[in-house]
Amino acid sequence: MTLTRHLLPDELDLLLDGETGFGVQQLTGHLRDCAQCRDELAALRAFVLDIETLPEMAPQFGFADRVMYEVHVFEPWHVAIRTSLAGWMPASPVMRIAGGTALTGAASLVTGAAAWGWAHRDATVFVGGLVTERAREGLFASLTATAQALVGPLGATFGSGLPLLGLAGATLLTGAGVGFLGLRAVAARARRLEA
Amino acid sequence: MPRLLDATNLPDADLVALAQEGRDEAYRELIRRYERPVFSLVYRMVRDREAAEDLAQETFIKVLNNIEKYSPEFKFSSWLFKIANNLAIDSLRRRRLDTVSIDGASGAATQAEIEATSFEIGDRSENALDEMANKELGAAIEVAIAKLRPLYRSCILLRHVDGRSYEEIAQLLDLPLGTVKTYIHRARHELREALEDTR
Repeated sequence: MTLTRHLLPDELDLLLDGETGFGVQQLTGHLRDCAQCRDELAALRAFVLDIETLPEMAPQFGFADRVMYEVHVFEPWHVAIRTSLAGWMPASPVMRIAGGTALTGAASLVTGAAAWGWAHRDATVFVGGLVTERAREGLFASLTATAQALVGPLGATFGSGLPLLGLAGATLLTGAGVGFLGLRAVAARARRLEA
Repeated sequence: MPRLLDATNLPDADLVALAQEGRDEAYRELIRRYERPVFSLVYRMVRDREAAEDLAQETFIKVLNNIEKYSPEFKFSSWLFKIANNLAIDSLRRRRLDTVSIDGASGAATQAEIEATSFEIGDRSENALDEMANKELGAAIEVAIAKLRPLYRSCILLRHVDGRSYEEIAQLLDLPLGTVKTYIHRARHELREALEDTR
């Protein structure tokens, strides 16, 4: 059944929007027979096209810089670590392959040694103890010699208590130093990003 | 040092992911991609170049400073346009003191809706608009759009200038789909009536 009247504005809008729901068939049927409504729809389409082709406007030059001046670019810690590690990656493919091979070799060696050590736990504990003892003695001797050189024979007396203290101090200092440098690097990076 | 990025061909979602990682180039590409559409929308809403510049800038600053809160299930551009539109509507409300409120939308049920849809004519901009009203169709359309109620204006601009779907506009403006369709149909009719002498 077709319509016996002309299409209403809302019905023309439905056709313009490409609606396909219930009742639209009747409207399109009327459109086939009515030149006036066809012209009306064509005019509506042309009008919408005029709106759609309005030109875009541009903000003033330097808009992006003004925005970025107010935006706080922040690099999350996990990305900072990934970026830092990527910085160690060699640039040339050959060096990458060589580096990867060396790293894989070293990792295999360490894994093998760890597996062997686990399989021979007694021997590992014995060798480990021996190495630690030798290192401790070596450190003790060098610290005593340093103390003697600095404060004379009296240093030998103080020197006897130094090894453990020295070891603890050296570990603490190394840890503090690494921590400080790490934090400084992260802070410097954040400042660079904000700038 | 991260490698230089060719961001021009990346989709928005990838750019946002890179921006969330602190990549400056990604931020700049998002600005480059949307500065014109956002500025155009805001300018056509507020009809004041300086205010539009500030509002567009505020939109980007707001969005980019909260980029880590972006949820990928929505389109980045929808989020951006939603904020731009809200800022423009807020700005129009603030300027109410300088303007004369004529009428609310006929379907407006609450006070907030009446305020949002009231037809406002700024004293200063009206003169500027009159000057602009030459015989060129584009300029006449701009003038006619400027005279629409703010929500009609948002709807018609988002639909026919930015090419958004009805569903997207409804989501963007927090309006029911039927209301959006009604607003767009009414806005088209008002525009056609306003432009009858020009065409």
